[in-house]
Amino acid sequence: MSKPLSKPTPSVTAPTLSEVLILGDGRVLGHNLTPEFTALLAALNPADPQFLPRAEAVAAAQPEPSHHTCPP
Amino acid sequence: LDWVGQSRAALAGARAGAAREALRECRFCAHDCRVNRLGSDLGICRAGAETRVFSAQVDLADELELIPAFAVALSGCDLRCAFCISGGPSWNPGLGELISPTGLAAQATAELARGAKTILFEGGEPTIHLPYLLDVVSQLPDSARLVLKTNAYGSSVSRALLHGLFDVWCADYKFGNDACADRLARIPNYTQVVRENLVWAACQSDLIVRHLLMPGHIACCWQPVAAWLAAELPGVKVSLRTGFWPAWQSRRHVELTGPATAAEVRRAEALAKEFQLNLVH
Repeated sequence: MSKPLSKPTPSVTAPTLSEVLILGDGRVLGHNLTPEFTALLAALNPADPQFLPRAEAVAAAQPEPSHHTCPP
Repeated sequence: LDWVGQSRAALAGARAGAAREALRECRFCAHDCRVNRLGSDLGICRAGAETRVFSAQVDLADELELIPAFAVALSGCDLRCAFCISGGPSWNPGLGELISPTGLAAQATAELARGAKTILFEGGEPTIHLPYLLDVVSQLPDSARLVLKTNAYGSSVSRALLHGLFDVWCADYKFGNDACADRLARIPNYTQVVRENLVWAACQSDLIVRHLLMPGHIACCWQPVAAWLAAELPGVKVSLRTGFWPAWQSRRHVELTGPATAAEVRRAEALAKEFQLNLVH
């Protein structure tokens, strides 16, 4: 499962609902794809071409770690 | 050519005042209501001078080249799409929170530092809130990649105020004919307006044209949209959204009570291939 963005800022608005619609033919639709919800959907169905690339985009977007050494 | 040699922030700041003044006789969209939004008049979008935000968060629903996006959704819209996925706050500009442009810009800048690739403004419809939008943009770093997600029903007034400010326009081409636009979203003269906006956007920014595949609307909507894009904007990025969600007032239209079928999705994708569209996901 991909990592969420580091230290996500709480939404400026009240928490919103994410929704999933699972169709009888096996397709999955998601609404309000937050990083956490997308990671969940990708883990549930890694073969779905919608969710895995999106979850991976979050992991790829992690800021580079700092290489500075903190002074003692 | 007020933009030549100016930073984006400075340009947006300079235009924000003009945009606020333009609220006295609002002509931001093709409805051309000409109401005084600084007073008590309301046009079709029902928005006054105030802008509210109903969502501001990192979002992954957009095209892969745009995500992770810090997506800011402004309340209110000038269209009345029965199938709107965010119908409540999109139809009601009074919902959501009042957030200062400075506060929103600070949050967006912080999200860029945390890894967001773009800052994306959506709605509702962001172009009905140009004073606020330009004010926020004027406080964002020039290096930020900005995306305007729009229904492409804006006017030449809006285009002049937006020119050169957004790196990407992600614009809807929802309906393939005026009858469907009128019946499902109460939009007059849709085809002419949306085409004018798309041609303009293609000339001045990166453009992604979105089409939400509606069940039962392949022949009347998707096919003419695909044909026009192939003929008039060859090579433009096209995002065919196949996950129609029967939300809001969809049930008022018998064909919109469920999602697009798998067969419809296959047919729509085959049409995209026939027209050699440059699909992005």
